[in-house]
Amino acid sequence: MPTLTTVIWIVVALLLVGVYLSWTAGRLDRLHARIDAARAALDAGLLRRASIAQELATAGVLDPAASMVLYQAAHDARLAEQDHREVAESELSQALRAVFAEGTQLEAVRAAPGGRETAEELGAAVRRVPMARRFHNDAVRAARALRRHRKVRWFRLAGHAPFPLAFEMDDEPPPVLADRGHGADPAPGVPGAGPGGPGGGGESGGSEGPDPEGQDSEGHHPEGHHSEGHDDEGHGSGQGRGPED
Amino acid sequence: MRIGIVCPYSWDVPGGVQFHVRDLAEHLIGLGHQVSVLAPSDDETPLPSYVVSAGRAVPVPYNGSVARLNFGFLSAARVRRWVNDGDFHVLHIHEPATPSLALLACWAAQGPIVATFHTSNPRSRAMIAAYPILQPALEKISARIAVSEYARRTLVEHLGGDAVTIPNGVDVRFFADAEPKSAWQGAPGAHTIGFIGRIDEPRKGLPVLMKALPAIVEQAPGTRLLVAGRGDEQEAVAGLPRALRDNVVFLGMVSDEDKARLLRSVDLYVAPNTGGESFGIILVEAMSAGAPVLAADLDAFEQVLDGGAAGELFPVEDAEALAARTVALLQEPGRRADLRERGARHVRRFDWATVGADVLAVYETVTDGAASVAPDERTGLRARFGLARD
Repeated sequence: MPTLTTVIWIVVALLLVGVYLSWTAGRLDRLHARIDAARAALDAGLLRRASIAQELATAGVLDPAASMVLYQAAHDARLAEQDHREVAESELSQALRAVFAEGTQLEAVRAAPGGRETAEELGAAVRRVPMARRFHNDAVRAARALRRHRKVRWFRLAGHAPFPLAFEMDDEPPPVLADRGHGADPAPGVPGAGPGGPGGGGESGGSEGPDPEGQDSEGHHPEGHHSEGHDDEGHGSGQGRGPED
Repeated sequence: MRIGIVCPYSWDVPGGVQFHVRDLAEHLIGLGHQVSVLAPSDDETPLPSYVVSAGRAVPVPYNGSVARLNFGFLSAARVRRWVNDGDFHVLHIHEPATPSLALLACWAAQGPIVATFHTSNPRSRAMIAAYPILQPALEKISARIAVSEYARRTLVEHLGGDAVTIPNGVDVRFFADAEPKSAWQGAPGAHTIGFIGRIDEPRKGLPVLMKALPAIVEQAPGTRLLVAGRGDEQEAVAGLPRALRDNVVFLGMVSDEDKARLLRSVDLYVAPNTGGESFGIILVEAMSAGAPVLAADLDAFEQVLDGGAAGELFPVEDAEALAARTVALLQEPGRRADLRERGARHVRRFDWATVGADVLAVYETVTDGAASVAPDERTGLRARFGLARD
């Protein structure tokens, strides 16, 4: 009789261990899926940035020297082997920073026909790369922390999945494109109704539509002030927002 | 895009996170997205059409104060049903590290999940104890957003990993277009100073301002302090000399419109808070309305004010320094005009047009190459046994 009880207990314990291990394997599987998705998003972001840079370099709006520097860097970044990807993408970041070191280059791009959209796209692209890279590396860190755990190593729960590696690169965007406060993104649409206080107000000349990257196409015709999407006047009004923050 | 947002705190109680969720939802709806918000609320409370009730939150003592939280099987089932019915492309949860609806949603769903961390609480014992339980849920979050660099730092220290910083949004135009009210406007020799916040909450710093007031009035006679906020008015002025009590005007609770008009009218907005702030939305609102800002040099405030470039800072709880800076600012119209202009330029990054675009960029980044949100079948016990046999 005692042997039977012991056997039952052992079976129950094994079952519990099995459930726990399978749950951990599930966790790990989900983390790997998250890394894959984050990596795909990062690749898309990098590719998008390189394409816009290349497009800009061949458009003839920049001076020849700047065009050549940008073209070379964008070309290398697009064709880089996996091992050299981080270096090539970092060099593209540096080239972009060098080319757009002063605001006048960006002004030149904006002044060209259709240049406003290109400038916006480039701004969105250089801002999204650090974002995507942060999410990717965050997922990598979480997966590595779990994979280093004893239970995962002893029971080989990770299977044949390669040990995840962080993507390390210099992704600092050019200041003129990264700065959300000055010039690049005006206060919501209506001309002359910018956030100019009683003493200020000189800066309110809006230059783009209300939402430079949320909506893909509409609101991007050259004088996109009066475009559709921003019906937020009076939004927030009349609903009891208390005085405390 | 179909977006599901989870608000952890009761919809019927006013608070920073609730307002943020409401404004974000309305901004996204305005851009043509489908948004559904899951929030705790009483059954009687009328809810906007985009809000789904998750049932009543239960007041529970947690972490030193009484928090209203949702937990239990019923809440979990409602969360699961909402996730299932919504068929969202992305799930955006707020405050996932508190034991509430956000955590339940994180537990019940899989797919692209974005999480915003609002507070920068010091690490609590409950969190350390719950870490092994929390970790599997937090692992599901594809993208983390912190509302300030300060909040991001605490997040990275406590939970590891990384986050992007996207500030809270403000409807800049609502404040910039408010009509000033002549009764609240200052004149040469009769300046007005604004303060908005709970009177009886020492963290908001009204006592510091009261301590500085005699020195301010002495050097700038005729200055009036306009105070908007709930609390005991008699108690607040108890420490003031009787002659000065007329210089303090209490406005009580004010509506959104009056708040904007007040900020638009005053010569100076003072934020003497003593701590516990992770962002400082009121400073952004003041700058949007074109009020020069003088604030305590808390980490969060310093960041909102661009390190002191968009508004002036004084040492926390230093009434003398506060009085000296206030007087100096009131006597220098040129400096105030300069601050107004810098503030107006600086607040653009906090406008919903900018903040909303950044949040959407995060959504698009996590949905690129990922399936949409679905209930997480693995959490069911039967499913787990089923999986164990595989």
